[in-house]
Amino acid sequence: MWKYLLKRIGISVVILVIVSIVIFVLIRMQPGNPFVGMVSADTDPDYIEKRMEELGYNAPLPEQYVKWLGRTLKLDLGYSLQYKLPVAELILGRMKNTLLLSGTAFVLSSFIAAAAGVYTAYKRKSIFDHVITLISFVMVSVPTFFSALLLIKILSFDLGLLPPSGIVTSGSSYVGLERIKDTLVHMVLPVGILTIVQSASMMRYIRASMSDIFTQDYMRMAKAKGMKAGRLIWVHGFRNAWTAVITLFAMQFPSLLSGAVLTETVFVWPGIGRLNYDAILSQDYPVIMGVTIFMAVIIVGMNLLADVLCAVANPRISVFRKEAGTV
Amino acid sequence: MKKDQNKPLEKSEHIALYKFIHNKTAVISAVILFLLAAVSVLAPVLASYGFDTTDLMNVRKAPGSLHILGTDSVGRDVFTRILYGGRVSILVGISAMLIQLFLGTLLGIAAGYYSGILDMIFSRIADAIMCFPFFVIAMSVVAVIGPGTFKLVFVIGFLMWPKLFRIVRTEVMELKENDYIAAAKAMGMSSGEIMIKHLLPNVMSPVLVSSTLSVAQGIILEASLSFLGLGVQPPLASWGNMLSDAQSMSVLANNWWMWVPPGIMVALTVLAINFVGEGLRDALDPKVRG
Amino acid sequence: MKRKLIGILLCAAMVCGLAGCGKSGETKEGETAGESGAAKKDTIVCGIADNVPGIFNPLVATKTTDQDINKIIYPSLLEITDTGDFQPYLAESYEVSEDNLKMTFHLQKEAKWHDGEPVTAEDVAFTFESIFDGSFTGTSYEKVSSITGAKDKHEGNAEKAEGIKIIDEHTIEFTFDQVYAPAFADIVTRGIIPEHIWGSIPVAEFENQAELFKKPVGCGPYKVDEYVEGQHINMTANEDFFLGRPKTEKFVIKIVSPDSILAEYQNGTIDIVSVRDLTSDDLTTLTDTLGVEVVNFPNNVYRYIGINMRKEVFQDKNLREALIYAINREQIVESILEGKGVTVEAPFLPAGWAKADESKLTVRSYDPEKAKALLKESGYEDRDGDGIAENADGVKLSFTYKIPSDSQITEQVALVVQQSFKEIGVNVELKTFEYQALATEAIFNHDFDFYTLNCQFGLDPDIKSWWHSSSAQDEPGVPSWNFDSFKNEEVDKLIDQANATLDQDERKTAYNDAAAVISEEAPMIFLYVQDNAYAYPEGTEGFSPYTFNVFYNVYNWTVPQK
Repeated sequence: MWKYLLKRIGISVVILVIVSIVIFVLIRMQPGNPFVGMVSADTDPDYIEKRMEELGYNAPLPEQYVKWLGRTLKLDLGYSLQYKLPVAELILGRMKNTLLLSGTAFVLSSFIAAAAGVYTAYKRKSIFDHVITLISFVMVSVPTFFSALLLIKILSFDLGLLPPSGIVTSGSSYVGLERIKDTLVHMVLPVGILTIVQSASMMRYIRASMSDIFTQDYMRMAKAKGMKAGRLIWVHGFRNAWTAVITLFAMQFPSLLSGAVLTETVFVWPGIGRLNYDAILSQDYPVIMGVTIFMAVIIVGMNLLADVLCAVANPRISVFRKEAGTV
Repeated sequence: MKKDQNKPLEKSEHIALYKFIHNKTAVISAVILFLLAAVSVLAPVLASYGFDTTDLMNVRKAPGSLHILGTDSVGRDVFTRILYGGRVSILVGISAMLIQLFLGTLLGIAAGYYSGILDMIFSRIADAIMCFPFFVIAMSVVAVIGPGTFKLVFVIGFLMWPKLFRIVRTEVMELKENDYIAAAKAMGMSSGEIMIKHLLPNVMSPVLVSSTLSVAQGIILEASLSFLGLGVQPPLASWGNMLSDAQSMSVLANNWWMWVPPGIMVALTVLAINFVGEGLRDALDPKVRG
Repeated sequence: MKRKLIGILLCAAMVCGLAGCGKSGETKEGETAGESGAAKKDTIVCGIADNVPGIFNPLVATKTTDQDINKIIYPSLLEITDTGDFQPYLAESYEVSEDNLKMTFHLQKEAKWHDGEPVTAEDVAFTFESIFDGSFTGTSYEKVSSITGAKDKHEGNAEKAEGIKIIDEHTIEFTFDQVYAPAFADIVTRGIIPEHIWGSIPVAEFENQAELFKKPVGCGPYKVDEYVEGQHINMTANEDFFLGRPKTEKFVIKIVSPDSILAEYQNGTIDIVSVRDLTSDDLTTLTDTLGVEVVNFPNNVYRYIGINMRKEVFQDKNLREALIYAINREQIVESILEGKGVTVEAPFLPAGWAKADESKLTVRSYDPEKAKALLKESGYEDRDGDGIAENADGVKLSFTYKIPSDSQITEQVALVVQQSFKEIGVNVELKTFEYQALATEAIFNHDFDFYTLNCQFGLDPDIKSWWHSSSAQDEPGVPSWNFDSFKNEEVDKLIDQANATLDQDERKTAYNDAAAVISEEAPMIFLYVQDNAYAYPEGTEGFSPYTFNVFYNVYNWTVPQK
């Protein structure tokens, strides 16, 4: 068990190194330089050269990478060229909001998807199954940004029910419950859209893996013996699908974070995805690198956690499966 | 040995076809897809305008006898752009799928069959790519290599292949434990032959299902990247960039013809592909019994 | 001539001095009106559809959004009114010497920093000394380097620039080596920073003071309460503001998405916002159903298509002229900008005092036949029937056109341009870049055939950095703000002439002549100046945005209660 864990951690580190190299090279290959927007027509070219030198832009790439990695390990992600703030601080400030958005959507969509997925798998080919499947198919068939815009148009613009953007009412000085209420109102649209899209795609996976289990012979046996539906689903069904479900949730997290880029851009949600989008527009390299590596760490971490949970939930099978290479 | 191995396969293919044909949703979807593809291919014949012909005198005109689906913000004919957009969107989806198919299957079979160090390297690369948040990396990559249809296809394909790779690799690992593989080896078949003749045909069904779905995914991703300004570049039309051209509230409110048609086309196509994929899964998967 | 100028300046100073007094009087009246129960909101929410990095120090801020907010926090010596004149602000009056080489400013005696310290001439001197400092990381040194001794200080040969003299606590005198017209506008509109806050920080470190940026101490009408990155900036009125307490208690900058401005109004979550890029339909919705008014005014930016004059093919004036004749710019303004803009023929803003004299310009209105004829004259015609013209040597008129992905309007214009060129047998492929990346391509790498960018003017209409041959660089990697490498001796001479005098009439004549030469040479395709537009609720008072400054009188704004 411990050996397995150590091995998984080792693999995670290797992955992170690969990721960091790719990100570093990629971002340093970007065209443009960060000073274009800062200097005006009468700026001395030497000045730009001087600033580039100061930031270490002229050193050979491997040297720059090693330096950058060294600093990154010390959690020093450098300073944003645009905000002049430490990148780590920026990311943490924004991460709270992203977690609020993605986390809520993650929890909600997990419940909805689990309930709908298990139920449709149990009642395969029923009207309910068809309707839910159809809805989930339609949901994943329209680009997220567009459904989000339509939602803003209907709920916010036509009906004036919900605020179209932001996380709190600007200029308000709500405290305590009022503030929480204010934030919740702002969360409805972005969380709603993320939840709908996310649960639609997760539901299909859960339905598929639960279908596998429900068609197993022992389940048919149990059903034949007159076991109650709820107990049947829970005791035999869900438990056996446990590892698959954990893996699925770990896999969904990256797509949730990545999807948040779109949602945050549409709803002007001050999260990490929007931070990255703005950073790309203004070529704020330290921020782009910071955000990307930060997201990669989170995702690798989630995968690791999923593996550990799988191992704990079902030690023999999962360790055996991993060692056989079935990641 | 070979014959024995092939016979059940043929049979199962017949069953699969039979199952698929009797899946109404899937068949209707396949027909719709075929029609969409045909219409897109015939775009130059069907369209009465150029897809990039602007007309500043007729901007945002509602549908009428001259323009059956109206015109957009620079007076281009929406119907024409829907037809040409279909070409581009579907082509992006299919090409991105082909890259995934190629990389995923090739590397997956190799990794699964050889195991060891090769498997280790490919798997870690695949893991690393799966750790990239798609839009974040896609934005950075496009910022480096510049936008463009082929680059877009490349980015989607290259970031999405690990999924297929994992499926293939897992299948191959299970398959190679089978006796007939050992037998083939004993008979002196080369690794290449074993991979092509025995492993490849046997992983085809999950690969087929996954590839179908990835076409749909490609179309959606192109549309989303268009929204971020990184999709198919003007003056080319794609359903995605037509949709993202209609971002403003007033277009949504007053110029429905600019967003309803591309919206319906994307939804219809993706939906149809997904149903076909689902139909294939049901038909090909021996585990699922109706 | 000179005497006349000084007359104008002094006159302006006097008139504005009076106006200034009037203004503070007004403010008090307004206040009582407010107290007597006129229904005005106590908070104005102003939307910005861009990010605000929050560099609240006017010396090191680079982004326009930051600079706008800095103008609220840190008053400058003078400010520009909605008619384009200077009026006293932090300086209650000023004088210019007979020879134009000496300027004296008298500061408001009441002015206090947000922390209660008095604003003195020391602060003004400190602000400019910081800019002269050799380790200063901002970009504004060049403009003020004509102040006597600035160079010595910049190169580390002097502790202080001798051209800046503190006469008494509220009086400061600037001396110049030579007359350099663009310096004046820069000096009087530069935000003044407090020495007691920034004095202890090495100049090189100014740009890293995240803590100070977020809690800026200025002396302007509003002080920053809370800066929440990516969301909003909450500001409250500065009770001790030297022109009287601002009329509205709170001022909020909110970051919004340009696509949902209508929805913001629908929800009452915004009061004032730029609606430049909204369509007429959007604006009609705003004005007809949401009780919002819209004010249009000329922007300080013109759009153009740059032509790379470094390439041999573009040395041919016929070709350049043909390209201009091929585009129906009037129709572009009419259909795409929906009439909200004007076409331009020369690099001067039609709204500025240096606007080009139309009778001297070469105007090339849409005429595709003439374009084709010009191409033919230069030997270009479609010989192989592929729709693209080529000359006898087989040089095809096929180019790339790089455009920024900053707005839909840019893309729409580019599409029309592409079609227009196609009609005269010129093929262009469009390539989209992020605005910043494109600027690098154009400014640093000189790698383009055609491209589109904005040319943004400051208050002074100086065009030296864009059109003087000394600003042209041809070596890749070396920035060239004369993007297209336009070199013309006559234009050089006229620009130098214009900058060597403070007399506006003299400058205008020189600029008009320069405009005539440039438009005749057709070195670039000037497109249009798109109007700027702001939306505000009906019944708003005091809000009168101007080309170069929207926030100059923010202390007078009031918005009615709904």
